[in-house]
Amino acid sequence: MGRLVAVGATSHILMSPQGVEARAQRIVSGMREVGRRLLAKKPDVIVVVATDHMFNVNMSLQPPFCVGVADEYVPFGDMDIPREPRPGHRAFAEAFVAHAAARGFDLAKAEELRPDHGVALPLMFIDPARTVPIVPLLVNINMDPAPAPARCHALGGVLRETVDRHRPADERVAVLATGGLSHWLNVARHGEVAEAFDRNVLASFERGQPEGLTRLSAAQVVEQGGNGGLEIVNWLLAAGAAPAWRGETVYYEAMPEWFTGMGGMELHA
Amino acid sequence: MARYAVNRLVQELFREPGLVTRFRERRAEVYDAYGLDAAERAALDEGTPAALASVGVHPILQMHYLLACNPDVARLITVDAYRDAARGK
Repeated sequence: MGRLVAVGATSHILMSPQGVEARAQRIVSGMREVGRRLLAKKPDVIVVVATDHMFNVNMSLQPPFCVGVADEYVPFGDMDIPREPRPGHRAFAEAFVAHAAARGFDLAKAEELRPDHGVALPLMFIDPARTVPIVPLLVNINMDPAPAPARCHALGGVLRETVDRHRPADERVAVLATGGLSHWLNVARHGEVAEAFDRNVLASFERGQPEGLTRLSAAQVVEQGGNGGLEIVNWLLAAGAAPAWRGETVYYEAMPEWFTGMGGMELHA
Repeated sequence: MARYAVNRLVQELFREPGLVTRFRERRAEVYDAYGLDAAERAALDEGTPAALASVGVHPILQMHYLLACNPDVARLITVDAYRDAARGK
């Protein structure tokens, strides 16, 4: 059996540091620290649980969940992210999709995926050398209905079962969730940051008890944290792979100038 | 009621090679190709989030549109200032 060795989570946006230099620096340092801790566990593969911003998964085809099974990923290049290739991990991805199908999750597979900033931006800081193979797992929060928080959390459990039952002995697996925290994008309340919501989310993971969040509907998360804040389902999915692990907040900054709350966390066994 | 046509145009701006340039230079031609109606054309011409929302452009695709058509937005949302930081410098 394989072994889950690390779980991390971080917001996945950066904007101009002009006028917010100190906070931007703390955010960048926080992202790098999330990465340092993740790579210190020497993972053989990183499952990146993220949201695509309709550069790949748009309205033409709308899978609730999509797993990249490719051997290599070249970023889409939005936000001027360098189009530098990163290895994929086909064997892990295929094993996950197969096990998920047996456990009631029929996941879409993608051979062609050009990761946008949801996947590619955190990895710039977390694995700048681009050495650790990745498996992108995209959660489609931009479709209606979006996957429910409880469903995402449960899929994390299936991901863990894949590691425990279907992967080679001593394979070391990391899970990185990206996205959030609260933000309202081009809807009513655009630009708001709900710091109380963000702090509550972080505290839930710190206690190792995000179940309160999984009891919310997607619509309730949107009401409290915004249409972009629904990205916390990615964090819930990652936590579902590591039940009873407790979170340690690495960084948090409310960033109204960037229209979002920014946070990062490590989960410990 | 939102139509798919206007969303289809916006979601292809960055995906279809050359479309952004074509849109900037020969906008009416692109409108015709995607079958946009008068209200959708007017909304894209206005280009504000409120106008885009009024014809049902998805909030995320509104960002695509702003990034494609508004240089101030493109200058704000970029990793350019962080390239060295990503490499630990």
